[in-house]
Amino acid sequence: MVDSDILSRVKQRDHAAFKAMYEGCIAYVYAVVRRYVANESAHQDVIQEIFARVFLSVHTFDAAKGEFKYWLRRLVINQCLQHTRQGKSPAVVVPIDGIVETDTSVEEQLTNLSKEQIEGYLQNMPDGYKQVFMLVVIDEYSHTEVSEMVGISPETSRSQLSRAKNWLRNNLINNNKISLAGGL
Amino acid sequence: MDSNFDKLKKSLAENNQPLPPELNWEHMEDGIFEKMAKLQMQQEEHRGRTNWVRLLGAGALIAVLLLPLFCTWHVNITTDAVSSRTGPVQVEYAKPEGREAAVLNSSDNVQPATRTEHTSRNHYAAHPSGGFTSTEGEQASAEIPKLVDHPIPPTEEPGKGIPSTAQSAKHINTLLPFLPLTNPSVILTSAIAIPTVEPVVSVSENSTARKNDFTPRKRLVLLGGLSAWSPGYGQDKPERHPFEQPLASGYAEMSYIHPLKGGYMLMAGLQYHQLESRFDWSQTINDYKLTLTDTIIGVTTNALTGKPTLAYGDVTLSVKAKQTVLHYNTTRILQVPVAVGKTWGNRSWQADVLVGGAAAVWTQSEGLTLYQGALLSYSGSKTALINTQWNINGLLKGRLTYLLSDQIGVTAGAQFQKSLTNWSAENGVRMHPNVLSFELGLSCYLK
Repeated sequence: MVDSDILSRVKQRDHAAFKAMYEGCIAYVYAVVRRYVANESAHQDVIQEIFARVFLSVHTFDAAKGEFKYWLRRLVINQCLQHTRQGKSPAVVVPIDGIVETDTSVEEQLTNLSKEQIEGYLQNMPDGYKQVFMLVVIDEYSHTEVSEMVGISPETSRSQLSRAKNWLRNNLINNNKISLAGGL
Repeated sequence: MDSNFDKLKKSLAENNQPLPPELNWEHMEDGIFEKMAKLQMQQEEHRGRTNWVRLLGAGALIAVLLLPLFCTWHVNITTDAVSSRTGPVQVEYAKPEGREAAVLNSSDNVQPATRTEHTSRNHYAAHPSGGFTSTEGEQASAEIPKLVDHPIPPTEEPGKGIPSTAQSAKHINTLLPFLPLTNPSVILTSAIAIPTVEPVVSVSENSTARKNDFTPRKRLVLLGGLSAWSPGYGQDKPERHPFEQPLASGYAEMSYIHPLKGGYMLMAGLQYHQLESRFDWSQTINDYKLTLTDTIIGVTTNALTGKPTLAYGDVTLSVKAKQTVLHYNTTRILQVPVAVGKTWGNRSWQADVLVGGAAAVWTQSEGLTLYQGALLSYSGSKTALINTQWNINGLLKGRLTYLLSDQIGVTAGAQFQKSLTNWSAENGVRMHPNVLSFELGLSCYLK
């Protein structure tokens, strides 16, 4: 993603290195931001904030502790969550009473969907579920880490994930029914 | 279960999404640098606040740690007072021995009238300082027969002990108007105990002397305050000088003062200075190139249909722009000051003047500044611009202490420091900062 030479030049506030780092990371940063921030008009502002923080705090990155990609991912996700917390991207609240557990496997159904379809489902998922779902399932953070990042207890994180899966399962079933009905 | 989401993970983690044009570096860099400057300012402000909180916390901690020490002193002093008070009273009722016995022996050779006068004055003198009550007087009366009946051996030095009593009578006379009358039997009793009263008189003399004489004592001084400072540049000033403005800064001190002979004293301790400055730089760019991309550059009308067609392209304009950089610089210095001085005072006030030096044992500078036409961010005790490491400063300070009690006083004063070493790391530039601090705090007097 970014080699050590660029990293050391960015630490010395070299403008050319800023550009090189930006161009090396922007695709990845954008992919993460798109997942966490639903409001497209806010993407530019969030990404600027992210890179400002990356350039200012890059000296805290320690290669001995892990890859730069994971350090960057943590920073990007934290910034996205902060953006959501500040109310810049309003969360969608969906009542959980109507969600019923089903036996159908979510994973099996997801394998049959295209990336755009999966993204479509995630876009519609309530923010509370979506955050935990993406942090645990996509970005592979533990519930303890999620609890620190989002400011909830690990138990809440587990229950949010369970509800997210139920939500996804129900929506997949409903959509299947609609498409079947359309086919008839 | 989560591991079965592999396809989903893979799918969403892919970076194959085309980037929108507004995310190109050219469109983003200004916004990023603007946010960086804003964040840096916020960090500086936060750091400044944190330092003040730490400083106050350290001060409070020191105060809390020293509090038990004051309490202990208080108890000790009370105990001492009680022992000096009870001493003479106990002696007065003790069986006469030694010198006391000699006085007792000599009493036969003294004229009764003289004896009565001396003894009565001595007895009265014992009353205020020794807490001699009427009950005690009655107890003393009860002792008379025993003492008077005691066999009196002949003495070789008649009248021994009486001269000292006569000397003390001079002091006692001053106390007489305030003392209650006592019955003659008590007066007679005291005649037997003349020498025992002497220590009481001497205590009275000591306390009078203590009121008038000022004795410097060991002190711990905790101070904090505000500083005004200037960079103290020499004739060749750096390029950034017109854009720099020193701001009100902070200062704290913890020191120990050891009294020397003749009202002189020695001070050593720790001082923390936080020197703040503001950097405000702006420039007008008369020929700033601004490119409007994909904008309408013309309209063509079809001759046949009369339908207008818009022509798009990039337009570069030359505009007048103003570039501004505002920043705050901080230099933190921890010093070990050593000074000698002279002190004057009385029971309530103490004034000190001190002259000495302060060596920097830890320093750090942080900020952003203009250096050879470029903006340079720096952090550390040694940078391309300044070297604050191992600096030596001359110091002059004066302060006044009002004693709230025997152990504690409120101290206010001022201190001036001038750096004797050059702070500047730039060629040809000399920087000897001047720092004027106004301080307020506590002086804790040690036993």
